[in-house]
Parts: sequence; structure tokens; C-alpha cells
Amino acid sequence: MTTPPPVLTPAGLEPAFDLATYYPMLIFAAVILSMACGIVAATHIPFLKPRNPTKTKQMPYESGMDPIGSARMQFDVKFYLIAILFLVFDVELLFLYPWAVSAYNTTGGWQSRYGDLVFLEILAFMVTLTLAYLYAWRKGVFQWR
Amino acid sequence: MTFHDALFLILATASAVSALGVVVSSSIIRSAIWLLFMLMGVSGLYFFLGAEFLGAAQLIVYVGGTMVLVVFGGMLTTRGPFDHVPVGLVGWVLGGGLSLALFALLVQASLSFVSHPRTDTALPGTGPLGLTLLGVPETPGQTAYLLPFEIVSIHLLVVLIAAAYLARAKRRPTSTHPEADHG
Repeated sequence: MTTPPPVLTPAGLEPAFDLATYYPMLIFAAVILSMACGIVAATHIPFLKPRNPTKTKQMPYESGMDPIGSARMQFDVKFYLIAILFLVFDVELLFLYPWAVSAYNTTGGWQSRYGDLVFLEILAFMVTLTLAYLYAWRKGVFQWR
Repeated sequence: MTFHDALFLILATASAVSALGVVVSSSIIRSAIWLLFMLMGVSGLYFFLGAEFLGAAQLIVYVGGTMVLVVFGGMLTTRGPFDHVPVGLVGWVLGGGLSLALFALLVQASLSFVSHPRTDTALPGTGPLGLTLLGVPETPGQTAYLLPFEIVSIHLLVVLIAAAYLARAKRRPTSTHPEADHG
């Protein structure tokens, strides 16, 4: 298998995109998917699955405890707030990704061009979000009541 | 058929089948799970095209974040144990007709690209994107998006403060719904 030659970009010589670097992930996904499909097939296809139901076996599994009530009910709206908080920091993480890839790259990264400005830029980015975090903390968002 | 052709076929078929599942399924939560697989398939297509950052964004924000919101939305608003959305004949005809028209438009648009084959064979990774996103313009006319990048963090600050404010404003003394038990 041949690797494509590096690409010359404003950031210096970059390794060209190569789908072959993702082959291990594809193998991983294929193994996971075949395991999941195999388990579903072995437990749900008639004539293949063993059929010997008892009352205990048909109980929902709840970490070894007897389940209390039904799991299908209206959930508290506090979960939604936690999800929104998660999404905010999720997006922050996403914007750290291109920074992390090229900030301290030895071949023409930012540091060789702009020096410590690279660090200050991302610091300003994160301090802004820390302020929001402190505000939410003071507002009692993280208290479960 | 090369290995990459087969890979593309698998990814595209999985995305298309999942997209069909979203609209055919009448249960909200099942639609959401189909949407999850559809977004994962589209993210795989992005990686396949060499757009690593876009694929990662799709995985992190849509599959990881927005889907949680959709599922939570279903869990918060559902009335009964198995909430179903009834779709009448008018809905099927109207929605089907509109989506068929959109499909025809997209097929026509993608077929028009056949006469313009791609010239660049090697694609760079995420590095140049990061440099553009955080670089300072050295010469006039050079594209650099440092200010928009910092505005993104201001935007996230506004979202977080608004979420905190809204959640506190609607506080009730006692919860009327039983809280979920996590074992």
C-alpha cells in the first residue's frame, strides 16, 4: 500500500489525508457490530434462541436490585439542563481539537510563528467559558434539588 | 470493485436505511435511535471524503450532544409508556412528495458534478484548518479567523448563562414527578 506524499500548506508540510490510518477503527467497529448483531440474533431469532422464560428472567436487569416501578415515565427537567451544560462543553472541546493538532506541531506550527500568543489565544477562549462555569456554579445549577 | 468502493457502499446504504427508519418509525425514541445511526453514517462519509474535522464535529456535537438532547426531549415530554406519533395519509403523501422532489433535485445536482472531476488527489489533515482558525493575518487579505474563534467562546458563555438563568427562573419548591432511580 502506498502513502500519498505530504501536502504543502500554509502550516508547512502536512501529512496528506489517508483513509488507511482509520483502518484500525474500522476493524474495531466491525468487531463491535458483529458482536452486537450476533448477540441480538442468538437471543431473538426463533428456533435459534433458547425458550425457557421464568418470572425472574423477564424482570428488567437493574444492577442486581429488584426494579422499583416502571422505567417508562416522565423524567425531571433537570436532566435537560445537565444535557445542555454537557453540550456547551462538548462544543468547547470540539474547538480545542484543531488547536491541539497544529499548535505545537514541529513543522511550521503556530508556536514557531507566533510564539506564546498561541497559548494566550486558547487561554482567553477557555477563561471565557470558565466565567460562564463560575456563573452557573454561583446560580446553583450543579445542586440537585 | 475496490475496497474503498465497498466501504462507501456500506456507509451510504447504512445511512440511507437509517434515514428511512427515522421517518418510517412512529415511536419518537426509535426515530431518535435511527437518527443516531444516520448521523454516524454521515460522519463516516465525511471521514471517507477526507474532512476529518467535519466528521469529528458530527460525532462530537451531533451524535454525542444533540442526540442526548433529542432523547431527553422525548423522555421529558412523553405522555404514555409508548408514545406514538400517528401519521395520516395526507402526511405521508405530502411528506413523501416533498422528499421525492428534494431527492430528485439532489440526484440532479450530484450528477452535474460528474463532468467536473476533482483535480487535487491528496488532501491535508486538520492542521491548516487550525492555523487558519487561530492565526493572525500577517499580510492584508490573508484569511484568519481568530476573532470569530474567540466570539465562539463568548457565544458559548451566553448559552451557558441563559441556560442557568432559565433553569433557575422556573424553579418549583417540590418536584411533582418521581425522580429516576439510578441503581
